[in-house]
Amino acid sequence: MSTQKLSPSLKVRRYFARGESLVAMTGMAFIAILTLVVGGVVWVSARAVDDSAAAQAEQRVRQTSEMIGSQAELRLTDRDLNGARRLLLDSVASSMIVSGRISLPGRGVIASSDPNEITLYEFPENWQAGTATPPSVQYDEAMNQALVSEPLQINGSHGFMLELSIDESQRIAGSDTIRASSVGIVCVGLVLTLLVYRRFRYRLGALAAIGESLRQIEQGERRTECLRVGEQLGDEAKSWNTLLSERDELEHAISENEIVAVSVSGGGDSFGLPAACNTLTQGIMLVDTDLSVLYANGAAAVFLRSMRDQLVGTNLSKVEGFGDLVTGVRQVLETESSQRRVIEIGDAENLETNGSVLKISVSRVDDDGLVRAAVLIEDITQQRLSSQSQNAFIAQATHELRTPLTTIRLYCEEAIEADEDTEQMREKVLNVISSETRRLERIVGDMLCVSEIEAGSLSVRRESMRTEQLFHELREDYEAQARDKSIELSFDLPPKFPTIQADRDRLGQALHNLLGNAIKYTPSGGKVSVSASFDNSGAMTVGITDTGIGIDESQQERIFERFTRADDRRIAQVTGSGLGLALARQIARLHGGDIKLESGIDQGSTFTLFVPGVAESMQAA
Amino acid sequence: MRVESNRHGAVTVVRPDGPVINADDATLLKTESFNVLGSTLGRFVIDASEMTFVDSNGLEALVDITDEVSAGGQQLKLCGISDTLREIMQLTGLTSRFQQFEDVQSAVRSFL
Repeated sequence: MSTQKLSPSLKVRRYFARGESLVAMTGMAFIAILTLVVGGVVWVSARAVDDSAAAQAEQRVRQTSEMIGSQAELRLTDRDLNGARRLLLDSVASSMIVSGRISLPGRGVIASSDPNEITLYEFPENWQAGTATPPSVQYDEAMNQALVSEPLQINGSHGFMLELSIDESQRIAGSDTIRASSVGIVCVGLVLTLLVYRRFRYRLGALAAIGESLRQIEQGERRTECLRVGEQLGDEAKSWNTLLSERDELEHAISENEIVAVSVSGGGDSFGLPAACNTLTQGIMLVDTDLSVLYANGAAAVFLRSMRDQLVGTNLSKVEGFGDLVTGVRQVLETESSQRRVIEIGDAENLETNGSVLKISVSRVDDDGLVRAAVLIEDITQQRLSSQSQNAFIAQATHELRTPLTTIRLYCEEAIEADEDTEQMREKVLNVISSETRRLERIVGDMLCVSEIEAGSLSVRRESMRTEQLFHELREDYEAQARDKSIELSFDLPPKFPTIQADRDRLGQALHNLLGNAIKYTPSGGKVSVSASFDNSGAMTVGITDTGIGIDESQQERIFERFTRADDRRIAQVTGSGLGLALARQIARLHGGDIKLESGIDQGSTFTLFVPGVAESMQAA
Repeated sequence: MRVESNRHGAVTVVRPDGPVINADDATLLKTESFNVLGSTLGRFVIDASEMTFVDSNGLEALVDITDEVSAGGQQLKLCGISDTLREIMQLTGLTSRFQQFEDVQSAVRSFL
C-alpha cells in the first residue's frame, strides 16, 4: 500500500469511505444497545410485577389471617378448643398455610396444626389480658414464608395470639424467573451480538481491504504486491489475491507473446509499429507459407480492395483479381532464393480513363526456418502517367527542335550551294534563320522554365516595361505565320500604351505561347484576334480569341498541367510540348494574375491573361 | 449543389460547385467522394474553390471522408480553400486533418 502521508481531512474522509467497517460497528452497537434496553425493560417490568405480587400476597395473608383469626375467636369464645384446633388443621390442609398455632403468651400453646406443639390442653379460666396490638407480618426470606401474628380478642379481652406461617415461594419463584429470563435474554443477546459482530467484522474486513485496493487502483497503483490483502481475512481476500495472481500471469503471458511476436515479425506487433505502418501510403503485408495474410496495413487493404480486418487471416488466393500477386508470393515462398520479385498489376492501357498500376515487390523472409513473404505494394499510376507524358514531351520537344533546325540547315545549304549570291537571297536566308532561331530560343526557354518550375525557382523580376513593344513583337512574329496558314490575325489595341511593372521576357513568353497556340490550333481560314486593355492602376488584360477547334469543358483545367495536351484526336498531328499553357499560367500567377479560358468544342477559344499592377505613367504610343 | 468529378492524369478531382449548407449536399459530397475513393485507390482531390462555405453537415462529411482516406495511410487533399473555409477549419481544430494545396495542379502533383 502507499505510504504517502494523508491530510487529516482526507483521513476522515477515507475512514468514512470505508463503509463496511462503519456499518458493522454501528449496526452491532445498535443491536447491543437494543438488547440492553429490552433487558432493562424486562427487568423493570419484573420488578413492577414483583412489587404488585408482594402487595397482593400481603393483602391475601392479612385477609387469610383475619378470616382464620375471626373464626378462631368465635370458637375460643365458645371455649371450643377442638373446634379451634380443627380450624387450624383444616387451614393447613386446604390452603397455602404451612403451620398455625394459637398461643397464650406466658401460658403455652393452646391449639396448633402440629398437635405435638400443644402444651395447654384446657381452656384457661382467666388469663392476663394483653394490650390490643396490631397484627404483624414478617417475611422469612430463607424459608419463603410469611409469619403473621394476629391478636385474638376473646370475650372482650386480648391475650391470645394467632401465629400463621404462609407459604410465599410461588410469588418469589415467579418474579425471579422473570428476572433470570431477562438477564438471560440480555446475556444471550449480547453474546450473540458479539459473535455476529466478530463474524461481520471478519467478513467485512476483507471487503474493506479489497475496497481499499480498488481505490488504490483508481489512483493508478498497479503493483500486485501493493494491492494484495491479508488472506486471514477470509475467502473473499483469498479470491482477490487469486485474481491478482491470475492478472500477473496473464500479463506475463501477453508479454511473452509480444516478445515472441516481435521476434517472429521483427517488431510488427509492438513499439507502435502497426500504427506507424498504417500511416504509410505503401501497402505492407506479411504472408505465411499457406498464403494466409499474417499482417496487412491500411494501404494494403485499400489496394487489395478489402477491409483490413477481413484481410488479416484470409488466404491470399481468395482475394479476387490478384492472381499474379498470388503466383508471385507462391514462387517466392517456394524458391529458396532471397531475390526480390517485382510484379506490376494493373490496366496500363486505360490509365487515362480509370486504370491503376500497382507495383508489388515480394521478398522472402527466412528467420531461423520460419519462412514468410513480405509484400510491398505501391500505387505508381500517377508516376506511370507522368512518365508517359514526359516521354511524349521529349518526343514532341525533339520534333519541335528539329523543325527549325532542319529549316535553318536547309536554308544554309541552299545559300552555300546557290549559284548566284544575290542580296535578296542573303536577306531571305538570314530572315529565315533569324526567325527560326527565335523559335528555337522560345522552345529552349520553355524547357528551361519547366526545369525552373520543377526546382521551384521560377520567379519574375518586375521592372518598368513598355507594353507597346511587347505587342509589336507579337505582331511581327506571328503575322507571317498566320498569313501562311491563311488565318486572319487582328490586333485590337488601345491608342495609348502605358508602362507597367512586369517581367518583360516572361510576359512575352506567356503571350507568345497563347498566340502561338491560337494560330496552331486554328484551321486555315480562321480568325485570331488579340485585344488588350489597361486600367488606371496599370493592370493589363489581354484576350486572345480564335475560331479554332475549341476545348471540351472537361479538359479545360487539365490543359494547364505540364506535359499535358487536350485529349482530342484532331490535334494528334499537331506538334506541341504540352508546356506552353502551364508556363503561361505560372507566369501570370507569379505576377499576381491568372489566365482564364472560355471555350467549347468547335466554338473557338478565348484565353484571357490578366496581370494586375500600378501604372507608372501613361505614355503615348 | 452538384458535384463533378474530372480525371487529371491518374487523379480524380471532385469539385462541388457551391457551398455545402445542408445534409443533402453533405451526403452528395460524401457519396461521390466515397465512390471515387473506391475506384481510384485514394488518388483523389477535393477542389474546394467553389465550396466557399460548409456548415456542420459539410464539415462532418469532410471529416468522414478524411477518416476513410486515412484508413489507406493518406490524408484528404483539399485545394483552392476559401479564407472562410480555412477559418472554419482553424476554429474547429481540423486543419491538421487535411492536406491543403493552393490549386488543383499542386494537389495532383503531390501524388507523384
